[in-house]
Order: sequence, then C-alpha cells, then structure tokens
Amino acid sequence: MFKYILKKVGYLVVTLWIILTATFFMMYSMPGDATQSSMKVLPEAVAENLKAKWGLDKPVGEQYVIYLQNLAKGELGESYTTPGLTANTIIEERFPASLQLGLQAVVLGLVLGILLGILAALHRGRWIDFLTIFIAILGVSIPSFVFAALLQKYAAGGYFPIVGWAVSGSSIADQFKYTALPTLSAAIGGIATYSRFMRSSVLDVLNNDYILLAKSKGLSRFQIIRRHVMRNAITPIITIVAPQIAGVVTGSFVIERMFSIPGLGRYYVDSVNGRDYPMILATTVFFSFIFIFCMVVMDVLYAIVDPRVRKGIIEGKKER
Amino acid sequence: MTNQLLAVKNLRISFHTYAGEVQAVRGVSFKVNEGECMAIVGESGSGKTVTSKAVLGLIEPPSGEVKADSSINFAGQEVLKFTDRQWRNYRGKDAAMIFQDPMTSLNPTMKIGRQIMENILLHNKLSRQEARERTLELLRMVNIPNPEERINQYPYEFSGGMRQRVVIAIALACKPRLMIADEPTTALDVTIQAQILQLLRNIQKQEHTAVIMITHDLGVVAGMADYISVMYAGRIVEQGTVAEIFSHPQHPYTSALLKAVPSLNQENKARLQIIPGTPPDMIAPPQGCGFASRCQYCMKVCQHRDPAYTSFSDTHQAACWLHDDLAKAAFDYQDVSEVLNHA
Repeated sequence: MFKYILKKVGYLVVTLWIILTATFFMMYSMPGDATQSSMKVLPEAVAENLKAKWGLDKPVGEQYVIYLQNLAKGELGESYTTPGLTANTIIEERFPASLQLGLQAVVLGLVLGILLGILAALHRGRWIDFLTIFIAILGVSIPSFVFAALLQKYAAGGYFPIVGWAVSGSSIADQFKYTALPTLSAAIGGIATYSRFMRSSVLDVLNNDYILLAKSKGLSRFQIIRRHVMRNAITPIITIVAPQIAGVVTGSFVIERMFSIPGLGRYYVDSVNGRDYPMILATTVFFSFIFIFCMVVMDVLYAIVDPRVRKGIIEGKKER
Repeated sequence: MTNQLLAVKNLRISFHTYAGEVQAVRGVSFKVNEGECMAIVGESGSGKTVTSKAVLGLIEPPSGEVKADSSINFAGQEVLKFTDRQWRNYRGKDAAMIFQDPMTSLNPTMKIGRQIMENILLHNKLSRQEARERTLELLRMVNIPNPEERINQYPYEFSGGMRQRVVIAIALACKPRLMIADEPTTALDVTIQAQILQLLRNIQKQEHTAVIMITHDLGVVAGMADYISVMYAGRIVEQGTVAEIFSHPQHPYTSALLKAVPSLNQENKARLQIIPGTPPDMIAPPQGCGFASRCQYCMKVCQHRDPAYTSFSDTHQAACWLHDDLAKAAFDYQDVSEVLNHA
C-alpha cells in the first residue's frame, strides 16, 4: 500500500513537471515581450534586479534552467507589475480564503447531496424524490453566478453582507456571516451532481440480493442503509468528487469576484489580464498541483473503501 | 406426533405493475412441522419464491401486496399482523433464509466474519468476543477450512460454493426453527451442489431445524425432503410425502414433471419427455385449472371451474377434476393414478 502511494506521488511530480514546462514555453512563445510592456511601471533598478535573478535577458533555454533552479529553492516567481511581490506571498495570502470557501462548499455539497440522494432513492416517486430532481436540474443547468446574484438580491443585506470577507482570526459568527452566501452559491452545483449520482447509486445497491439478505437477518431499515448501502453506494461518488474538490478549492473565481473575496481564483484572472507572466505560471502550477493531489487522494480513498481495489493493488505488487 | 411449526392458509400475493396486477400466488395453504423438510417444487414463475419470501415478510409494498385474508401462522403467532419490531425479532432469529445466488447475496465490502456476527449480535446479548467464537463455530459447522483466517476475508476471496456455505452459516447463526432455502444449489456446479445438499441435510438433522426447500430440481427433493408441494400458476396442485408424490402422482402436472426427469437407465436414443406449452399469464390467470391448457387429459370443466382438493391419505392431496366421481366414472380405468403412470 505504501509503495502504491509512493508510485502515485511519483506520477504527480512527473505530471507537474510536464505542465510546468508546457506552460513556460507556451508563454514564452506568445507574441510581444512581457518584460518590455509590463515592467514599464517598475523603477529601473528593480527591473534590472528581476532580469538578473530570473535571467530574463538570456536565451530561453537558460531562462528555463534558471527558473527550475529557483523553483527548487521554493521560489515560484516574482511579479512583473508589483515590485517585490512574490508568487509565494500571494499564494500564502490568498489561498486560505479560497481553500476555506472551497472546503465549506464541498462539505456542504457532499452532506446535502448525499443525504438528498439517499432520501430520494428510499422514497422513489414521492415528493422528496421530485424535489431532489428539481434541485438537481436547477443546480446543473443554472450557473453558480446566477445563484450568487439572486442570493445577493434577496438573501443579503440584512444579517448577511452583500460582499466582503471576514479578516482571518475573526469570530465564528463573523466567519459564518461572510461565508454563508458564497458557500451556498458555490455548493449548489455540487449538491445537484452528488444527489443525482447518489440517488442512482443507492437504487442500484438496493436491488442487490445482499440487501434482501440483510433484511432477512432482521436488521432495521436504518441499519441496512448505514451498514450495507452506504459503503457500496458511495464508491461512484468518490470518483466524481475528486476533480470537483480540486475545482472548487482552487477558487471559483466568478464567486470570488461577485462577493469580493480575496481568493486565489480572482488573482489568477487578474494576473492573466495584466499579463503578469510569472504569476500566471505560478498559479497554473499551483492549481495543477492541487488538482493532481486530489486525484492521488481519490485513488488511495478508493482502495480504502473497496477491498477489491485494495486486493488488486497488493496483487499487482506481487507480480513485479 | 410432531409439532406444527408453520401453517400457511389461503396465501394470496399480487404485484402491481404497469402491465396490470400480477397474481403471483393465488390461495396457497400448507403446513410445516418442526424438524421436517418440505419441498416446494415448480417451474419458474409458479410463485414458489414469492411464497417463501412472504413467510419472512420480504414482500415489499407498494408494488407487492399480500392480500388481507391470507394467514401465515408461525408457532401460534400470526406473522402477517406483526409490527415492524416484531418482524425484526422474528427474521433471522426464528426464521432465516438462504438465497439462490451466493455470488450476489453477500455484501462485497464487508468482511464475512462481520456479516455473520451482525446477525448473532442483533438477536443475542453477547460480547464481541463471544460472537466471534460463535462465528468460528458456525464456519466450522459449514466446513470452511481455516475459519480463523477466513473470518477476516471478503466475499471476493471465496468461491461460489464457499460463499453459499457462508450464507448458510448466516442463516444458522441464531439457531432458527425454520430455514427457507430458495434454490440453494441452482447457481452452483453439480459436484458442489451435492456437497451443499449434504451439508443442509446434516444440519437439519443435527439442529432439528424445519426447512422449506424451494427448487425446480426433483433430484434435490428426493434426497432431502419429507413432504413435497407441487406448485403451478400460483397454486399448490398436489402435496404429499416424497413416496406418495414419486410413486403415486395424482395430478397430471406432477406426473408430467416426473416423466421429464431423464433417467439413467433410459435408452440412449429415447427422447426427453417435455410438457408442451408455457405457463399461463398471471396478469389474467385462467378461470379454471391453471394447467388446463397444457394438460393432455383436459376436460371441458377444467377450463371453467377450479378443481377442489381430493384427499388420498392424511398427507396426500391433489386438485384435479379427474378425481371427481363423475370423471372417474367416465374412465375405463379404475384408478386415475394408473392412467397417469402408464400414459
């Protein structure tokens, strides 16, 4: 099992390197010279320093090597437009907000989605089932920013502020006040997707003979669902959750923008608009890292939940 | 005299589908005594599985409906009037079920030890350690080698025969007084079938458990059952002891079934006897005898009116118009069973 995780992490590093290299050269091949246009605002001395540190006046091959060397030291890049601002600082400052919002949205989405899905499956054809289908269709077909706008118009203004973000370290009540609406708008897509998946997955599991056997043991409905349905029904959910977590955590920049949340997603878009190349590169690499990391976690989770997958992994090891 | 354990009276079950109401079971009555094995025999769709599920209360509303005037009496209690809690206490403890396909009747993500222990802990006040001991004992009882190791394995690590042994162990966990085996050997290889049947037979003798054995395989019945009920189109057409059914079948369907079993001393070139036709559509069940359309002795009355049961002994009954006094008179033969045996 440990070897398996190690192997997955190895793949993670290789994939990251490919993404990084591709982004680096793609940006270099864009027309125009970013160092010329963007750095105009910088004082002469600062620009010179930047050029020296990142080898910006050298051929592209050397630039790439220098970039990798700096990366190895843990430096992700420096802004061309804001003097002294490094990508590390930006990620440190802005990622927590995105992470908090993302995690809250994922947890809310999962809890509500799975709950609704199970309820809908157990009461197929009754009102709760139709409600779930209704929510699912709404959630999938209407983009999250529409919900954000609707929430701002109808739910915000009183207790919930329309925009803004609680400063780090503020009270739980404040945190809740500021994050409730953005979390809800970011979670709606998740609720829709998970509830649909969970519903069909539970219905699938309920048709199995082992559920009938569990019932013939004298287990109550609740015990059957908790012990026999949940684990078997949840495996397909894990598959779809991982990429979604990555997507939500790395910042739904639309939501961040609408609620004026100082998150990373919003900064990403800003840096693209400002042609701040090192920042684009840094955030791209960081987002890719989060995404692939979620995939690795998913693979490992899969093995934990399903003993058959676990066996496949162990046997694969023996063969080699 | 043995004690009566289960008495099913006038059991009627319907399923509501888009196509209409399927009358799967249409007035079935039978008795099972303590420690005895009763086999329900019939072809696919004759209602035998549905009947057995009803005994455990596994007919799910809203699509499935056990009609109000049905009665299932288990050891003096009317189970159809059970509350949810009473059902749960009864299932698994008083009566247990063995399902047809061992490949799908175990939870794939739960260790088999836990699947057995779950049943023990539910109905007995035992510590986990004691339940574990009992589980090991059960696994030994169903002849699973290395139970200490096997207890921590998952179903995918077991072969089909081994899984069926586990399913039997689950059924036996709380020493039920009644075990319902729904075609327990149908999904298995022939050699494994024999082993599983032997196992069931031993357990039945050892634990003095009553068994309802559901099958379409008369070979299985011959080796195991004390009594046989033959089902056709949602009704029991004939019931009796094994000897009575095998040597003196009184219903044309029973005798046709027996003839359809290929025999070892049959000539190589002899054709297999079949029953032409198909069972009736249970959405619109026939007015008279269910077997009328396939019966070679069918009379006019068979198509319009239900035959009543004729008794041949305390244990042997058949529902066929041929045994009506008027019909008997019309035959040249004295005894209809003779006709059936020679045809």
